[in-house]
Amino acid sequence: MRLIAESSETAKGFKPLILPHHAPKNLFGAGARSARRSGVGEDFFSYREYGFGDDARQIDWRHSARSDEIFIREHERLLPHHVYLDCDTSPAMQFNSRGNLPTKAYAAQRLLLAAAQLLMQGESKVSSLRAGRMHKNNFAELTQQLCAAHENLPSLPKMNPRSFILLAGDFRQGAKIWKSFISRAYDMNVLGICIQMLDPIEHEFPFYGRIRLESVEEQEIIIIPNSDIVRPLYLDRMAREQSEMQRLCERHGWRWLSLTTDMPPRMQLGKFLELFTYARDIGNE
Amino acid sequence: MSDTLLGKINLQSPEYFWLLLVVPLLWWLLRLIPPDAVRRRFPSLRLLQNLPRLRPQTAFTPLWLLILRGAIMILFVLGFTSPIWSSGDIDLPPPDQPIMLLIDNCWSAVPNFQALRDKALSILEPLPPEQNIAVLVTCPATADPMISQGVVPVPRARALIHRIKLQDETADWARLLHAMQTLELAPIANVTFVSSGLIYHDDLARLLQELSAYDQVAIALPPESLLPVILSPATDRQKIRVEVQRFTDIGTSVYNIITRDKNGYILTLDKIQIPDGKRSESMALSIPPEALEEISTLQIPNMGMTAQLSWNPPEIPARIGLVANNLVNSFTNPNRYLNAALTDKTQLVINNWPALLEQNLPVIISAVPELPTEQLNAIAAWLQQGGRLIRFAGLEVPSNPDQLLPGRPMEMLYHLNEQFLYPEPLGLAAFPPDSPFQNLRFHFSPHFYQHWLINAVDLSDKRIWANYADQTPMILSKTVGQGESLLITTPPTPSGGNWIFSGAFPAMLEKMIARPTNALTNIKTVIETDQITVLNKNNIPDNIAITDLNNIQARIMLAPYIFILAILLWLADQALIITRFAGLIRAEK
Repeated sequence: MRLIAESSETAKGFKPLILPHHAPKNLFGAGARSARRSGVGEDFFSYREYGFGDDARQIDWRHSARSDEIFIREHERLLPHHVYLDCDTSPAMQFNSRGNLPTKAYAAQRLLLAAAQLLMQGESKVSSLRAGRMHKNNFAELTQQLCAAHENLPSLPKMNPRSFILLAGDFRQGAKIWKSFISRAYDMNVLGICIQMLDPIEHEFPFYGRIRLESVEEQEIIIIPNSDIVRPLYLDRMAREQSEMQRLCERHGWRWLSLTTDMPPRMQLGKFLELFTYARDIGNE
Repeated sequence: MSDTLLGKINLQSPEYFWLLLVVPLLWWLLRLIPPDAVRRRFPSLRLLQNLPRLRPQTAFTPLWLLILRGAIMILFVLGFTSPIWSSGDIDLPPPDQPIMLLIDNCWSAVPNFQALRDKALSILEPLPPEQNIAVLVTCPATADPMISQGVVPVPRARALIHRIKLQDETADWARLLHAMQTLELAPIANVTFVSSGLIYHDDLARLLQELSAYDQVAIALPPESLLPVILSPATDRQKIRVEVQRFTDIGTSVYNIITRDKNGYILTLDKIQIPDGKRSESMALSIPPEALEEISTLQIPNMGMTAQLSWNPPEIPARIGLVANNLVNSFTNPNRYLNAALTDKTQLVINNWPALLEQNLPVIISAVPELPTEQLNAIAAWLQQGGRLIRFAGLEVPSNPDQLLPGRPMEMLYHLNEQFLYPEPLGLAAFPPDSPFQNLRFHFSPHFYQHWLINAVDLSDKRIWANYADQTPMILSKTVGQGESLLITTPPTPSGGNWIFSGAFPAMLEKMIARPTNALTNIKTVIETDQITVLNKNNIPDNIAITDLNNIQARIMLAPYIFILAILLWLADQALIITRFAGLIRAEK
């Protein structure tokens, strides 16, 4: 419940995230896809005779004046986007270096749920990737599924083209492992965002002197006699790994976003939303 | 125990210095055994796989950190040795060593007595209460100079020092040295003589001999500017002015000021009166300013105080007997002036008649007393065998002069009193052709204020060696057997004239005592002078430390400051670590 409350608090004040209807073929290019049926939409679809139950505000008086019938103007019906979310909840993600910081998994889940709320407000259908199929928007169920513990990578279910995937985790498996997943999604015309959530000590390696590092998942131990010397090496390796993931994403039209748990939640959400602003700007060019 | 420019540092517990040996050992151990690693959970361990081989961290301990921590260790060890800084320069003895304090409270301590007492108290200041102290004074009020009656603890010694009173007498060294020996603290005691800076020459020798029995000896001296009498030529071009200071302001005193040239001849003889209630007075010398360069010595021969002892009258290569019990430092005592006129090398033997006659010395009597017949016969017999007797006219004219006297005294003529028989002081006439002084040449002409008149009838068989300017005989000689009896018709005091202080006197005395060398055999050398020695590094042996009497500032226990400094350095060390390891510490929180 705390997670839901915090995610709602995070999303509060942001505009609904409406994925563009006519999105160019770029980031998240699926946009809203035409159902070729009438419905709630912005574009004209057809006229039809006014009948019982129709909203009087929909009557097209100009067209009706040309005949004896009363017509209403039907707009093309827009089908909602399908957005699939997945969060890495493996033990490595259940880590925080300080008590006042959230775990990596918690911070990722909070961000995903805040984004889900904005997407739902923007008429998107949001579901967990691991649920296997798209359900009706059910925020509580989504929360539960995002928080469920699992260690393996998500599998890619059969999706409608131009669906959208949000993956959150630390992506410690590396670009080679993720390549098959992302390329298969790309083949299905599905795009997405990889959100890397790191703890500050992973990002900064703020150690000095002799230090004994113990892994979170396995009983692996490394004793570093002089962390000052090792720091640049570590940061270089981390930057290289992030760079590989970013290149992998960009090659397949995906986007890469790296965040740390010590960032304020609304700032994390803001950085996430900036990706869409960037995409929209490109699309308007 | 190191001397520094700023003072002296004594270590109360020097044995703790052994701990310094541990410092390199600790350093070696710290480098040998690396500190336990900080344990951290870290998810991105995969990025740290296959690291290049690294040297152990301890090999990279920065030099400045080593120096800093070494300094902290050394400071702690230094603190444990309990150092005490003292601006004084007397070594602090260990607690079990007795301390003997000799405190000068005789006449010469008058101007500095408070400083002497403060110095003595300051020596006790840092000592533990149970330390054994013996307090002795040079001039005891009672018969016993050992005022502490043996060794006493520090608080009692402090009270005793407060009770010491100044005595207007000369030091009784014989008794003091006896008291020192009675204590039987040699050689273990630490002896400090808190001195006025002036001591009689023979007393110094006795003191140094006694002090040589002790291992650690120090003498605290006042600066020479605080000696009882100070003479300093003024810079006034019009007149050569001198200022005379005395150590007391009680009573009226008249001092003679004698200036001498480099040959020792007297240039001026002036008197200065310091009235009751004043400590100093200045006056102009009776020579023109141009003569200032000729002055090599300024002397005040009164009361045994001579500010400058550089005057060396011509050496008289002989021993002279003097009939006197002792040389009392009285202004009116002629023996005192006789003694002052002679050099250190002149052997003035003070003894009674029989002893002097036995030694066959030329004998001086500074007055003409009426001698008993028995003594006169002995003297006559001695003169017959070649003895030489020299007598000075005194203030009193003997009513019944003996037969050995060359001439019958009639009366004493006074110049400098209310009678004023002479308008000017008398000078010396040219020496008679047969006078032993015939070839003497003086740069300075002595003058005379007093002399006896001699009955002319008695001069037939007498030789006159010298006359006053009015042809009154000054020195007469009478041959007695192989010997000779001489009479000098003026007293050997400043009231008689300046002859006694002039270079003429020793030169003439040399002639008067000159005898065939065969008469000078088997002479026992007994030298006694009343010269005062100004104590300084030239006449104190090197193994005796000299300290400044005025240097009585308090001692400071350095240990708390050293510990505070060590703790501050340690805090700085920690601050540096916190600064460098800020990220790690933040992560640990």
